[in-house]
Amino acid sequence: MDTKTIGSPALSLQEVTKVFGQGPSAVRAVDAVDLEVSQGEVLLIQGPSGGGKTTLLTMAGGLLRPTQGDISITGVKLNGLSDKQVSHLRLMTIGFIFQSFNLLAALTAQENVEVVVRLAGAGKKEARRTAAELLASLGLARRLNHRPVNLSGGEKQRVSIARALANNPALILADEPTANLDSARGREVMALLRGIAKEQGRTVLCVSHDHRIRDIADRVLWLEDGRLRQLQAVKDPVCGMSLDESLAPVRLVLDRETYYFCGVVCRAAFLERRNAHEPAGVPSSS
Amino acid sequence: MSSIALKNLWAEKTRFTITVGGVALAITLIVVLISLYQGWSTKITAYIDATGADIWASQKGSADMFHGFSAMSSATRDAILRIPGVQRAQPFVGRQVAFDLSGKDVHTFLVGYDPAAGVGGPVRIVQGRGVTSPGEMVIDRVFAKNTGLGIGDTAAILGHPLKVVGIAEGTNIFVYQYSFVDQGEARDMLLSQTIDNYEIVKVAPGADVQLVISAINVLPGVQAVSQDAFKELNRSLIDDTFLPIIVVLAVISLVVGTAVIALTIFTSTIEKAREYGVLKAVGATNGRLYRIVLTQSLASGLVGYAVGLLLAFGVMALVEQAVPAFLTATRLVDLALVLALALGMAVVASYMPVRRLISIDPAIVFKQ
Ligand SMILES: Nc1ncnc2c1ncn2[C@@H]1O[C@H](COP(=O)(O)OP(=O)(O)OP(=O)(O)O)[C@@H](O)[C@H]1O
Ligand SMILES: [Mg+2]
Repeated sequence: MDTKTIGSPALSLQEVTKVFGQGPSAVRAVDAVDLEVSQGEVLLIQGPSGGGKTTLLTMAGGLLRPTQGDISITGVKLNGLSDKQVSHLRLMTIGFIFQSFNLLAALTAQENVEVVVRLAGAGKKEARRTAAELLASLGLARRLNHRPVNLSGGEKQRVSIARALANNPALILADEPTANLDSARGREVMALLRGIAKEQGRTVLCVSHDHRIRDIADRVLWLEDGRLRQLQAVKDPVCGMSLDESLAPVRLVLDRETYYFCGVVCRAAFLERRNAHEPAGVPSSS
Repeated sequence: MSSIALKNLWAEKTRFTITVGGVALAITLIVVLISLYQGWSTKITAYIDATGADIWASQKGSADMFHGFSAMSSATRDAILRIPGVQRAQPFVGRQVAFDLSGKDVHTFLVGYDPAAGVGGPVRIVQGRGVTSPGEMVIDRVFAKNTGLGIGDTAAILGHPLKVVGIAEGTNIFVYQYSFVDQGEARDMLLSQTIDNYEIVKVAPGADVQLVISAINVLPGVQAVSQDAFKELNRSLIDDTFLPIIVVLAVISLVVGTAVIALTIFTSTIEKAREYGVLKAVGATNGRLYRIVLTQSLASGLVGYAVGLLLAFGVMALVEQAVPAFLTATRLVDLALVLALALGMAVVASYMPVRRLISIDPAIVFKQ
């Protein structure tokens, strides 16, 4: 089941929907998402909080089954697999990177990586060597025997990247990998991920709020209200300035319509103009 | 995986210490109880062993030395001696007596023996000598310690002044100790010259013990049992009284020990739920995680066992100094049994944590 089908995209989602809860309180966290990520690609998915990014990533990593739709990883359909098979697929094909690092507190940096190599069946010696080499390649040769408490945030994230790479995964899934890092460390981590994708041919899917890391991605998609789409160029309705929707400094949602502004001044002007056309005191219905 | 288990244990030293302490106390109690039981069991029959008897004949209906009283005409002995296959039959004369020792009420199992016959006397004399004439007495070392009597001292038992001439060992059965006097004098004190309490029978080499027993049983008012059966009967003194208490205490200890491991491993599993979730997320199967929990449990059980064993030996050494009558015997097979119990506790204790592990959703790794 871990035979990678040649030519298949590293990750493919078809009509994937996840609904949490039932009845009127149900939340469509991910709504009919179609997505293909090819080998070696760095894809960044951005979107507002609660947009469904984590839910999408969790499903892509085989940790959550979709309510509807199909997910394939390196051509292997997750639907048809048992939990145990999915677990093995995760071990051999996917590397996870988390916002909060999720290292095992009682283990050293080297042991944290070693554990995953061992899970895949390697012997103790081989696992130690693989872990040491990986950590050294990420600049942590002198941190092998440090426990997570004694590592900085950036170092911890590099250990977790080493762990993610431990079994040569085709796909790396990262959820807000830079959120707990300062911007320099954040860029460093992203550059590292890009290098890994480009030099080692691995696919990286990263979800993040952080638009400072956009230039590192090959492609950026927008996930909002569970729907995935291309980023649009938008216009400030007042001054006519061209804006990127994810970067627009000010937004306003009125009647289910989103307006983007270059700043608060234009928004104020917009509201004023709108109120002039409306009966006083009822600003938001037309 | 096992290294994660051990490192987790080691990283939480306080919790580990509590677990080990709880298990160790349970193990200590169990080992001391078993050793005490074994001590009584072996010592209670040490005197019977030392007689070298093959068969004990008694008055019908009174089998052991402690619960009943057996008295038979000395003529029974002549009848037994006529049975083919009997090599020797010697009288056993003795019973428990209480007497006043400078205002204190003390008691001992007084045995009259025939030094010439060399049967039924003190098991091992460690100081002084054996009884050679009436008016002399050999007492047990523990009895000497408890009463303050020593060689040269005189005690009046049932109106007979008896001078201590020797101190013996192997005649302490915790509830009381054997004392030895001249057999003729014992008959005067306890019975009459024509009554024996038991007959200590030795069969000729090659004779069939069971056949001889059957033949003795035919004699009117007499019953006979083999040496082993007689020991078993006497052991029932403790099996009937102490064994149930020991079993109850041991079971309570086991339950408490198991609960301590279960609770500490369980709380640690809850606290580490996220880490277990991470392991699941990166592809560890449930089986791997069970092994971590089981290893922690077993390690706690094993270390607790080792510490408990040391404690038990310490406690027994201390108590034996403080209470001379205290008897313990620790057999390797019992230690192996207790080890099995400790490991069993660990396995049972890992049930709850394992249940908890199953319920951990690996998706928690993405939650903040
Ligand atoms: N296990 C769950 N049960 C119920 N609702 C959930 C669950 N997980 C997520 N949701 C809901 O699904 C929606 C999408 O959540 P998700 O965590 O995927 O968003 P996100 O884009 O990752 O947000 P953020 O940027 O804040 O991390 C939210 O409305 C959230 O409340
Ligand atoms: Mg999220």
